Amino acid sequence: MENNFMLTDDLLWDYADGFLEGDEKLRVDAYLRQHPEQQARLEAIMAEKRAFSGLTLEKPNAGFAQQVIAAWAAEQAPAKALQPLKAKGHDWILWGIAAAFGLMIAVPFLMAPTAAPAEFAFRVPEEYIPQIQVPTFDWVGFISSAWLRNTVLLTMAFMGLKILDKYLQVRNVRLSGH
Amino acid sequence: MSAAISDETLIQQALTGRQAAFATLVNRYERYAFTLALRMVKNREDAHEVAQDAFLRAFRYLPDFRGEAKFSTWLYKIVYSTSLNFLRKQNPDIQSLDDENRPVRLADEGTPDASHAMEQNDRNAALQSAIGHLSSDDAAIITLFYLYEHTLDEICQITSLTMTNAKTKLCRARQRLKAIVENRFATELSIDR
Repeated sequence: MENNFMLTDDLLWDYADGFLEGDEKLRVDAYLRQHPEQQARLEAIMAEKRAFSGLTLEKPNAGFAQQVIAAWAAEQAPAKALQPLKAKGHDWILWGIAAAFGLMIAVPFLMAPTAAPAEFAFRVPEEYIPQIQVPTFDWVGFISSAWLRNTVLLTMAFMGLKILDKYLQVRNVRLSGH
Repeated sequence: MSAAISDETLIQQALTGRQAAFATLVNRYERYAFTLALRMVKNREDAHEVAQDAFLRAFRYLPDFRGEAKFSTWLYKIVYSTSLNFLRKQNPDIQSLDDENRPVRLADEGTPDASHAMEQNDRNAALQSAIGHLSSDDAAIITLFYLYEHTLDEICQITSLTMTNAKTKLCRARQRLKAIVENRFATELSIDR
């Protein structure tokens, strides 16, 4: 052991805290072996360490955990309220609107052949035709009517707004999540 | 039993939206989070606010928790930074919480905590009170190392200090605590020096 070696308090604390490695640690080990009276200093430090680690944790007020959980639930509530719109199970609303919209467009075209007998029916002698009044519908007039045009436009506008609304809600949920 | 459930399992359950998992995590760590916050902000009411805020932040960012560190280390890092933000908000002029140039407060300030400790002659309370006289940073590092028994490496993760800085800070915090103990609580704390 070199004569100039000084076992300072800081060095002893580092030793006790396990910060010393290699030669430094070996040097302190050797010094303590050669100077058993210095063991008392180390023991005092160890006692101080025990006192630190033996400190009790502070206790928050009763109901702290419940308050945290309530605050967390409150924070989640707006996001949860929007969640059904995100959920797959509620997409049937949009699909339903889309289907209705599709049907509105498709039905007149599908019905057109039966609604225009003059162009497609083959001629049957008059006497064979029973005198029954078959209700007819002016599909051509219906398709070209302003009413249908306006309905289609309104439906499209409604669909557009609905999709925009859903997009904004989903985006808000994502943003509020951070 | 909830105590047997690992943090990792609880986190997985919490991520699926199970409220009970959040509650278990809070119950498990409330005292640690609160103690660290209290050591830093020095006031129970503020510590409640900070600890609650830290838990909410942790839950908000739980999907980002990768499990690279222990959950406790990650949570204490949030408590530590929430406390720092709180202190900076309280005192916008604060540049650093480092106590390097600040002398240890040795004047007899007669704080209620200190009086209380002396009345009770409670060694534990006196030591707690002595730590209460440290700066926020010093108190945090002493608490994390000696009470929570975190390694220096974990403390670096929590405080974003380098290893050398953390070691230096711990050493200085210990010296300051020793000075406080010797000057204020020598009678209560019969630690051989």
